Amino acid sequence: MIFRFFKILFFILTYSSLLFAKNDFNPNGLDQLLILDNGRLKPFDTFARNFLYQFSGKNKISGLTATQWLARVIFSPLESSDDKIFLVNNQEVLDAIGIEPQKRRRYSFNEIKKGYHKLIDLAHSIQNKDSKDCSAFENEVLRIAQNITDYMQLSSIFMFFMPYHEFNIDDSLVCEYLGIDNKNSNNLSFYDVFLLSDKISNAAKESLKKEKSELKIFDMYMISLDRTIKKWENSSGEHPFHIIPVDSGGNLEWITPWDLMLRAKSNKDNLNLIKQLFEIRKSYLDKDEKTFSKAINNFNNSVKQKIKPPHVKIELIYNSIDPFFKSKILYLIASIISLLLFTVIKNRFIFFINIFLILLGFLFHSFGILSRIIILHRPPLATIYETFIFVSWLCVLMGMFLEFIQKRHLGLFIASLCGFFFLHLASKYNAGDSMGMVAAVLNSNFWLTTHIMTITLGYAGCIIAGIISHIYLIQKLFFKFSHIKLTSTFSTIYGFLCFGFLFTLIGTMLGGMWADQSWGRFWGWDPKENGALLIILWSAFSLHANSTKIIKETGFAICSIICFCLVMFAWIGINLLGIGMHSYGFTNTGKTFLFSFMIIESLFILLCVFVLLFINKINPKIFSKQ
Amino acid sequence: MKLNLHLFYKIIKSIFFSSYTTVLCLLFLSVLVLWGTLYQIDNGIYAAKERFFNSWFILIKGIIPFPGLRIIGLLLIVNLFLMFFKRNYSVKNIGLTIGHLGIFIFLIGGAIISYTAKEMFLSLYEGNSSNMASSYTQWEIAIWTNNNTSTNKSNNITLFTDTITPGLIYSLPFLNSSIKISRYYKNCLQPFMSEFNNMQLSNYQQYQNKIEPLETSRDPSDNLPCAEIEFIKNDTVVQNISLFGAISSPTYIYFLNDTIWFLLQRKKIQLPVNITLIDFIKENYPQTQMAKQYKSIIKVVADDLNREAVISMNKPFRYKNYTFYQASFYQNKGIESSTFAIVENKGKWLPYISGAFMFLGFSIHFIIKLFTYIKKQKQEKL
Repeated sequence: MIFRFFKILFFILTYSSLLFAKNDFNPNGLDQLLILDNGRLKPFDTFARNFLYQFSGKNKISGLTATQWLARVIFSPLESSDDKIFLVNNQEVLDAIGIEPQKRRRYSFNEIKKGYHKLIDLAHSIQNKDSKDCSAFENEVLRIAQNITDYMQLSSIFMFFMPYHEFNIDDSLVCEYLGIDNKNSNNLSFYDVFLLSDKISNAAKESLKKEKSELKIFDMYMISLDRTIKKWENSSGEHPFHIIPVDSGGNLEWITPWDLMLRAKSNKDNLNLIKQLFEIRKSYLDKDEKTFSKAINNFNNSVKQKIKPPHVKIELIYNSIDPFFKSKILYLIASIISLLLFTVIKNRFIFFINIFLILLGFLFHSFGILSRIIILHRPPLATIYETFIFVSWLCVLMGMFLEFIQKRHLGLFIASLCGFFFLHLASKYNAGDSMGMVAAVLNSNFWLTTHIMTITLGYAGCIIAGIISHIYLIQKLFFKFSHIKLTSTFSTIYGFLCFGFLFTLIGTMLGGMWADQSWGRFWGWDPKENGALLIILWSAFSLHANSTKIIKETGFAICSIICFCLVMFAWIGINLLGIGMHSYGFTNTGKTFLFSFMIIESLFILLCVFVLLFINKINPKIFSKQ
Repeated sequence: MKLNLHLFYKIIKSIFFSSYTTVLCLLFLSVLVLWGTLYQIDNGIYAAKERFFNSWFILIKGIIPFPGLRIIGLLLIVNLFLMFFKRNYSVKNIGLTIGHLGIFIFLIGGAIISYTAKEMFLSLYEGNSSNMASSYTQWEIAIWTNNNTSTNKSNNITLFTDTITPGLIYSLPFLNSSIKISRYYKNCLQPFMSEFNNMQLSNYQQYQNKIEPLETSRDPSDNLPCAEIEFIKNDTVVQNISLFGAISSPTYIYFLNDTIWFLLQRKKIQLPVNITLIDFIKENYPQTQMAKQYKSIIKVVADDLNREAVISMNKPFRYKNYTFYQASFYQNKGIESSTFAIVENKGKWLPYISGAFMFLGFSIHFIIKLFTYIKKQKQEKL
């Protein structure tokens, strides 16, 4: 019975994305198409997700998966220009570019197109400003303008396959000369004409030699076709769609379909590839799933022969499962159950369900981290997003360890709460592509692993100590727990703070060594370094003050809450300052969060101090040892 | 007298021999670090370093003194040292002892490094070599002649601008003349470089009065100074010369049979090795402009050394007390140059040694404590 329940739960969690997807044309195999983007080979699926998230802040749009949506954008742009994908957070932008605001927050390309020129003009006037000086409105303008430009680039990837009016031919003589079927002559694309461009340019040369009076319709066609082709050839198409590996001087260069098109005339292989692409597009437009998947698989195989293919399958599974979201939800449920277990309920069955939920979440979580390691070939610690995920993972691990030795449900509560909290925080930092390449100074797996791993361990220790301190203070000041229970909670705080101190210290020393290796100084009073030092100093202060009996248990708990705040300051706050050498971590996210976090913590500490000083004084019996 | 000595001893004991001092020092240090970090937002890292971390005292609002890093550090070192006599040297505490020894070495090492380490840099174009590094912040005025009669070294002089006082007269023995620095500014408006390329002396005249001091920069290495010099012979001013930090080619005047050269440049520091830049390589991630790796291939020649070496990000080249790092680069139309940051540091291994002690000591202590705790938990269960 229980197992069936879990089985169903597991299936729902894993395949929920498929259940809700509308059965539109299913571009099988397209999701595996390899694209070189931002310095990394990634499957089409990731590429599409990144763009969809960038435009709309969502992973799905009107029932379409990201792959289905992007397929529509690149293969049949007209159809997709009514998709409401552009997220507009600030209504003033719409007012400024002359578009009637609607009740919804997302707009289609066709809607925004009306204000396109105004938008671009606005963006140009702001472009040279330092992003720090930009107002929220200006940032929004820049963001939307960027999205529209990106969208237009995406939609024009296969423009050369689309019929274009300047290539229309209404003359049977011309058709005959070029060998074009009369029926199709009004539907010609650059692709059709370009393959015949030698013929056309020869004829155009001849025609140009003639006197003006001798020119016939045939000559006029040739000259104008020749000009249009040249015009197209010279307009460089900057598309972010590098899908074809080409050997260029020993190195593998990845080119776009447009580049391939221009190179197709001289090279038979390239011509074949272009024909394959044409086939893919045609079968998409014909809604012929079988031919489509056959053609795309052929294309994928031809690419895979030229390179050592990356782990596409793992990345696709990673994308479709969305492991961090799932573990976040599981942790959330588990943390509520744990809180109940910790306080009121005493039930072994619920306890086991709780353990199972946490373990399942931990499984998803670990899978997510592991697949990132495999996909990116580096430890998953290079961005602030990744450190949140990793610290969350460490907290869950430590919480379970605590549960293993203490068995008081406190460990499970900490594990699930921290897991949920930091995964949620991480999702705030995930803007589109979370698998970018790292700056040159970070490009060292040895130091990434040793330094950041230890420092995040330290952070995790201090955080757990801080969270348990809340519990301790609540237990002591508001619920008057027994002395034995309090001592047990306190020893946990002490242990975790020691752990946090130890690893922050080692991590900071390692960081100093890394800085010594790459910047030439062990210590430079850079804000990020100071942040870590602050945690060390404060926890050292707390430990010494406690051992000299200057502060007692309650004071120590308050000190470790302050330590928790310092961790958040060093972790999030320093990046907000925007100064120092750790510039690869700068971001503006989390300002509100950090601010409200600090205020809430200060209020909590003030409340505790108030209760301690005044209520304790008025009625000392309340807090006397039981 | 005896009583006073006793009192003195008591005071000393209560200050240095007490663990309360440790706690107080750590608290003050935390405040100092936090304050020094936030101070950087408005004032830059250099000002923060000078005010908080390279000072004995900070005056808040110019009146209230607050201990600077040096005084807290000194107090901590003395306190930590004395506390070694008070320590409980049981086996149970061995980890703590080793760890604190590590911290003691670290503090001593930090003090040594902060007083002795020198930072400089060296920029080289591909194919060029040099054994002279430049200072980031210090400048010098070099004056030399290359008359035909003698080429010995005595016909040049270098004035360090740190010691220059405007108005004083400095003699040039090799010319039987002297110069007077009439004006010197640490940071001032620099003429456009293109205007000055290959400019004749006469054209400099128009910049005589254009010396315009600017506010000194937040980062002192960004300052570009300028100086106005009077060339004096027999108590009469022969010539006025303006020198600008941004102009890397020397200015010259003709005097009798000599050409006299003047150059205001970053202070040169002799290196024990000669470095030749063979090749600079910037590797990008495929199809992006984002750098994956910077690398310089150099040839190093010294008394006991003659070989090629590679300096890249995270991989410096070390020679004796000198360490060379890849700091920045310049690429334009096929011309490439690479800049190395150079640090001369006599105590560079101290942080590594102390780090090992701390790691070992505190880890041992933590593990011992953890196992004791787990054991206790199990006993409680039973």
